Amino acid sequence: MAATSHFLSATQLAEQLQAGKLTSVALVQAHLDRIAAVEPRVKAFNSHDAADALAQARASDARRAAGQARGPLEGIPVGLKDVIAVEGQPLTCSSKILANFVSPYDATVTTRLKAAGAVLLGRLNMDEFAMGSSTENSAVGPTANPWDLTRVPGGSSGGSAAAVAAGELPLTLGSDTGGSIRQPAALCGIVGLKPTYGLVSRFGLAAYASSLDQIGPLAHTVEDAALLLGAIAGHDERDSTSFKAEVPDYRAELAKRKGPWRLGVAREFFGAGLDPEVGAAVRTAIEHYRKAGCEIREVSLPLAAEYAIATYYLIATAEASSNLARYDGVRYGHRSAKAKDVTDLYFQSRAEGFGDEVKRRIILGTHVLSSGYYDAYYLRAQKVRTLIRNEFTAVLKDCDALLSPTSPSAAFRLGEKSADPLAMYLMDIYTISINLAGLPGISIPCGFTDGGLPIGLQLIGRPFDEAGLLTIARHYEQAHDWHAKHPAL
Amino acid sequence: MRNICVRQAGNRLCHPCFLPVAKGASDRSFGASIRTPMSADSDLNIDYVANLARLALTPEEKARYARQLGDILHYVEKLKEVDVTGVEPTAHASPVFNVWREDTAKPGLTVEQALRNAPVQRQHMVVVPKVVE
Repeated sequence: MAATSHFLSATQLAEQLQAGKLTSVALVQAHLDRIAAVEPRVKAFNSHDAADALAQARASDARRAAGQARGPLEGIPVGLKDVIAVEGQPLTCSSKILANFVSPYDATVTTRLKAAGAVLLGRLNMDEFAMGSSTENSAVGPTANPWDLTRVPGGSSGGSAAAVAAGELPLTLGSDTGGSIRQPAALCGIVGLKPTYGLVSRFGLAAYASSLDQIGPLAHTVEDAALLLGAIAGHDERDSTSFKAEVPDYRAELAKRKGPWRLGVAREFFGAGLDPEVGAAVRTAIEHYRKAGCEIREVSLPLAAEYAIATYYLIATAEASSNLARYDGVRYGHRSAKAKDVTDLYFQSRAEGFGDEVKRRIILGTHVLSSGYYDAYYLRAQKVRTLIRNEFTAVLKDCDALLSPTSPSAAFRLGEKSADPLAMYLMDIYTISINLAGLPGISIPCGFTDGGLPIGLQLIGRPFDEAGLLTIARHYEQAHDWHAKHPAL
Repeated sequence: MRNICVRQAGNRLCHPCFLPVAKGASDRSFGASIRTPMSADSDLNIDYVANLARLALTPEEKARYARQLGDILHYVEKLKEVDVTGVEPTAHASPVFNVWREDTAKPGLTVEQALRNAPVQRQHMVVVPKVVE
């Protein structure tokens, strides 16, 4: 492989592999070399097993040689956020409490990646238990933004985004509960898709907030995101919220569907708090669609604008406090050596194992679920969630998609927001309501700040219309070359 | 049990690095939304809640979380403004309810696999400190 080919798209790599111009072993070795070269600065990985990846690559090359290539990802390395189970590999959630945990089974997305022929390479850093917007809440240490190593990559899937942006991997999976795929994709200048809730199985995803969590792809291009989504989407009986949706060939749909589209722009997404450079880049992207003949409609989402963050932090922390009750030091995970009795074992193991933000959210979630507060906080938040969903449903009746910034600012400096949880929560201000509504959302690159930091455009689609959403996103991508720019590392 | 009563002191929600107040910005923008003044009355009994959560906290953690969560609880008070009369709660956004399957046995984890991550085990069982004296 040539020196620049670390940034080839997965689609291009698949073509080269099919044409016999490239072997999976050569491809994986090239990425291992790239990891060795840049990882000391980027720190996207919690762990990776080079020998295991090369063994998978050899098996892939053997299958292809025997005419038994498995699927569209045959031979292509894919990295997983360290929250998705792969049998026999570590799964830490970037938490001390799971420091020595080894997954006893595969997540459904893992099973499907293997069935598609992918080479599973690496466990990617994240905010502990996916709680955060900067990857600074990792017990392993922060990941750096490949565009500026003094800045955060976003989060919580910061390792997944940084690994793609740095050319360490062509494809990764992240998880998105309030923006955790889209926001790091925006801050790292790549593509990140949060699918409709229910499209991708959550079986084998360590749970944060189960009614909001969704696994999705991070990639260099929209077509690559479509390729990876197609491999992981679809009904799974082991996830009771999995929907029996038709899974189209998303890449084929990209070629079939044509605009122009009716696109909504919510005025509330462009108010105070939005960095002027980000706002200008997003407005220019909206003009692209207008010039292409799309009808741009101004819409309003007053409830989502006013109440989404409050609703999210009640629902997400409540669910987190319940989900994380399982980490008690008994059957798996960290066990305190200084516990006096079995009850103390819970208190001490959890105190030693969980990091600061996780403790804060467990406390908040426990409080809002506790007797006397449940109706006022949790139940009320669930009702406001209904109203926010209804607001999006009404707006999307008349619009094929909505356009907005992904994040209110470009990448901020490491440590800049660490002391103020609420300021950090506000980094998800444009992404969070989409999780509450269960809608698909994608972030694509739409420019750079004067300081050379990437800016993301968010497109929000109708439920289970990922094909439409990807097509609209690709229309912009094909007319611009932001995705072809890469950081100098 | 010490009861730390948290009340909002000052408007920390208007974070200076995050929210440059744009002249002429829409009143209903996301940014404007977090400056809405609210009466604060959010009591968080940190000892009580930490006990429910089975989480040992240091005095420093208690003081800090009480302050930070006081800010956040003050912020979420705004949900009281919304009229939710007759509104059904949303538990999750998937159009799937009451999923059934046949009650048939399937291969599962072996005992060795299930115990692989146990901190302490003996004779195919997880060992815990003595529960009954």
